Amino acid sequence: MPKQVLIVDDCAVTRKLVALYLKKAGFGSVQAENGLEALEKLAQEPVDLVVTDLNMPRMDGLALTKSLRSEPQYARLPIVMLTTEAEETARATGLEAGVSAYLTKPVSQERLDEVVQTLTA
Amino acid sequence: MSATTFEACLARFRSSDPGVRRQAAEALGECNWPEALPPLVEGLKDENPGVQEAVMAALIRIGGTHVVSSLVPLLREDASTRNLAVEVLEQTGGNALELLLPLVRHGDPHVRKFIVDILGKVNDARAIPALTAALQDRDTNVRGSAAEALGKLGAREAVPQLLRLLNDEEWVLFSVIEALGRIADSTALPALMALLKDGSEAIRYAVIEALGNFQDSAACVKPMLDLLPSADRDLRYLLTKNIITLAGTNGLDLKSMVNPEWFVPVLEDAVQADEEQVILAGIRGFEMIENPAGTVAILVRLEGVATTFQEQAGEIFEQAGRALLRCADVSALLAALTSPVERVVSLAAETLGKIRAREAVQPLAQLILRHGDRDVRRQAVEALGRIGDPITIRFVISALEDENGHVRGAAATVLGKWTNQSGIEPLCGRLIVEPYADVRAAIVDALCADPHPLVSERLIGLLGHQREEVREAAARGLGRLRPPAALSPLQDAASDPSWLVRVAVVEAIGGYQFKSALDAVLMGLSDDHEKVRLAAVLALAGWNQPEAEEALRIEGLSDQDLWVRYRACESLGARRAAAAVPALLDIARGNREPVMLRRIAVQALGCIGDPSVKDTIRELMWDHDPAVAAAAGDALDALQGGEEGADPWK
Amino acid sequence: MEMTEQTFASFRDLIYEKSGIYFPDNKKYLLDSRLTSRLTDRNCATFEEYLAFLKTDGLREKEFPALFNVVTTNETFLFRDLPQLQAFNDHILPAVIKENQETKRVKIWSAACSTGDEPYTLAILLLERGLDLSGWNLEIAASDISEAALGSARRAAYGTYAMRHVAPPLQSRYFMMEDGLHCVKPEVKRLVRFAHINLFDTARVKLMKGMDVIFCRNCLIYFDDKAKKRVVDSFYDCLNPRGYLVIGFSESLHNVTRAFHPISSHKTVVYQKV
Repeated sequence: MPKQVLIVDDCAVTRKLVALYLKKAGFGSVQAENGLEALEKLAQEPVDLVVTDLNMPRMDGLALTKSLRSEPQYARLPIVMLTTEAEETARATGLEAGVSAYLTKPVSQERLDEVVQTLTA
Repeated sequence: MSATTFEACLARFRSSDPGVRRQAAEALGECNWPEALPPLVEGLKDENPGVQEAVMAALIRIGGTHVVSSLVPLLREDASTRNLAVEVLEQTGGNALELLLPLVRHGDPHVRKFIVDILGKVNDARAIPALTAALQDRDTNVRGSAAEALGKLGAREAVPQLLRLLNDEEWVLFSVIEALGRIADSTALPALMALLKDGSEAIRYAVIEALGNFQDSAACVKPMLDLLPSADRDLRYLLTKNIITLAGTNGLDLKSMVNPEWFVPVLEDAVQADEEQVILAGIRGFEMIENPAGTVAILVRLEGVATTFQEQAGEIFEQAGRALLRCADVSALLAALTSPVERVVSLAAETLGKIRAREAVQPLAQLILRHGDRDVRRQAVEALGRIGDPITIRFVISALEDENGHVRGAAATVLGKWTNQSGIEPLCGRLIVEPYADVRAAIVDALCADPHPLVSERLIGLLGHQREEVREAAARGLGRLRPPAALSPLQDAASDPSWLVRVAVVEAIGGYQFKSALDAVLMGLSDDHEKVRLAAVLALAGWNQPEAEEALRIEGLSDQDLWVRYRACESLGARRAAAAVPALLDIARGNREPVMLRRIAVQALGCIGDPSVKDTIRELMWDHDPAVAAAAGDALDALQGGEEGADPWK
Repeated sequence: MEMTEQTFASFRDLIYEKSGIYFPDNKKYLLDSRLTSRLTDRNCATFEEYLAFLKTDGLREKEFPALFNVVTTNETFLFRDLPQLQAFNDHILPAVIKENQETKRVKIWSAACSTGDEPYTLAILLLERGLDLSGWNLEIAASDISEAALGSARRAAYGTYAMRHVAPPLQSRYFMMEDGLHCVKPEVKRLVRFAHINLFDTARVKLMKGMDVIFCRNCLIYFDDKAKKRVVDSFYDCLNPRGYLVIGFSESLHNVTRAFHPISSHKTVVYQKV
């Protein structure tokens, strides 16, 4: 079974690009346009990794992370936050909420691949 | 809202109960007090999502430049607040464009990006110059967002600037390609095609997807075909979809451009896919290259589609039907007649009929006699109808007795097409016992298609049958054929105990238009049942005799049923019955008459053209009901047009 | 008979305005076939005449219910979409019972109940838990836009097709045979009250207060996002804090509201008022 990644971003172009980058790393992908849709998709099929944007309508990436970490079944699910918010404070907030890795946009295929391989080894 | 109410509202907005805060937010949105704005903006920070949503709705409802300028500072607050602010700005920014545009040059790149994204959603072309300038922003994410926004706005004028970004980093390049695809301006084609050769895999994928949107990119089909052999499965599917789409929209002769030896496997592969659009592309591809291998590939796939797609399978089956006609491999279609999937059998039968495959006659006949699915049997009957081999008539006749109404109806229709005398008795025999109205109608249609004298004779006989449905059908048939011998029996039938029959009889007699038949129709005008009276009025409408007009005027207009009166007015207008004017005026002016009746009465007065009604019509143009007033306006035009000598009804 | 594009647009807008139900272009054929019976009943020769009748005549208020009857589909059956019912039974109901320990009351609203299959199914699930025996007050409100469907629902008699997913022990416990139909027993019917409610009539919907659970399955798909949001917003106000909303298993709220949190159970999603 190939590994599955859930890509959460309100921008369709970004989702497509991340999906293509991760395809090279052997991932199939499922997409969601905000945190709420992400939770809905997760209910239907398990994934090995979540890559989420931070700024999204209805439920942002931080709220999604906190929601996931509050449930025992997702305590160990690797969550990568991929966002334009590059400030140290933002990174600290993200890590505190429980993200496994914090990356800033734009990100290269190599960097993304490196982080993802480490998290899903 | 008074000042005290407003204060109370503000107090409720600070309640500890989120339900109360939510209602207060809604009220603040409607109160028209500018002082409501600051607390509402603060309210975006409420921790309860139900309150947040009510606050957003309130701010959107208020709208305007003050809301927009209050929200911009929030774009650098915490994640929850700033995203709420963005959601509201997307809905309100359109009315405060002059506030947003300068912010594209804000010092903070995060703010610039938010504003650019919002402008992309607001859909106002006045943002294009600012967005085009943002393509040169020093921040990568802003450039990418600007490209995307310009794509959403369809900004043709930005294409040269977008093309200049094709040397930018991959993250931006991706957005630029997507934007060029959305705008689909052909000046971008050469640059995009160049990327097909040297771009990374992700870029090539983006380019191929973008190319699918260009209307005139026939030139792209060849390079895409060249990419097929080395592409992985996902890329192959994308290429296939786009090649077929482009070939379709540009009317390319794909057949001459490909070698079936390697293209057929590509199509077979596509047909096997899970994604609906890819399957459709594969099927359409076979339709274009007209290769018989398509028949088997398509039929095999359809067996799976029927179960997995269920409702959405409709489009796939429809497309497959068209393709099978072009690829027709008769032996494969014949084999499919034994498929366990009924929908496939039906489609195979339909196709064999349309291509008039004589070899299919025996297997189709067997389906009619034995197959369990009613749709299959029906398709088989229709197919025999198309193939038209006369020896098969006995199978079609046997289908008249099928247990299912749809099949019986189809059999009747086919017999009508063939107008073979040997069909008459079976059709009449079936009519006598048929329970379904639509099948009886099909039988009558079939009988009337054949002017053979035996048909009229049998129908006249059936006018006396014990079942009222049969008598009705017989009357309808005779109304269509109108043989002279039937007039007298029809007149006798005008007093049938069943109103259904009486309606059909009146309609039938109405078609004869002999003076001697008038009595029967007039009798219908005083029938107990309103539908018979309505049929009588409609029949009289077509008769020129003065007795007809008088009957319409006197009995028709005073009938108790609204629709009878309606049709009477209508036809009196059409025949310019001057004598009806006083009665029509009464109806038009009558306040307690239903509106639609008054309207048709006014219209009729306009048609009749009696100038003495003009004053009344003019008054009615001020009637409280808009439909009547409008009809009066039209009628006045017609009356005045008549005066000038031009006939408004020519 | 087929109506013109223009007439279709007018009908679509009128039906949307009155009920929130939206007919996209590819469903035009449905309107063509379904309205024909209205034309015949109303003696209209053309769709345009019927449209004029609907828009202008004083009798039109009586016609709209008949129109809604033919325009809504009523193909449903009991114990439909089992995973959702399991989520109701295993997750929602225990949570509601815990929340209402003091009031000892459960109030459920089946907001698109059609011919009654759903509310009776829910009633059976409540009875199976023995809630009525331990002194709990159980109320199921059931509503629909179609009077004809409500009529069927009140008759509470079902054929084999509608019963095919009801387990045999439940069949014998809660139904009795009459004239070849499975009739719902009185102790089940007692829990359900029917009413005619158009979900687009926000004022009427807001009268439904104090709900612990709202079911609205296979109804929101007929609405566009704007209509959906309107209905879901009013549902929010009808629910108690931490109340639940169950929508069609193929439907989603993620593009419509933030005020409901999705909860996963039995591979399906139910929503909780936050």
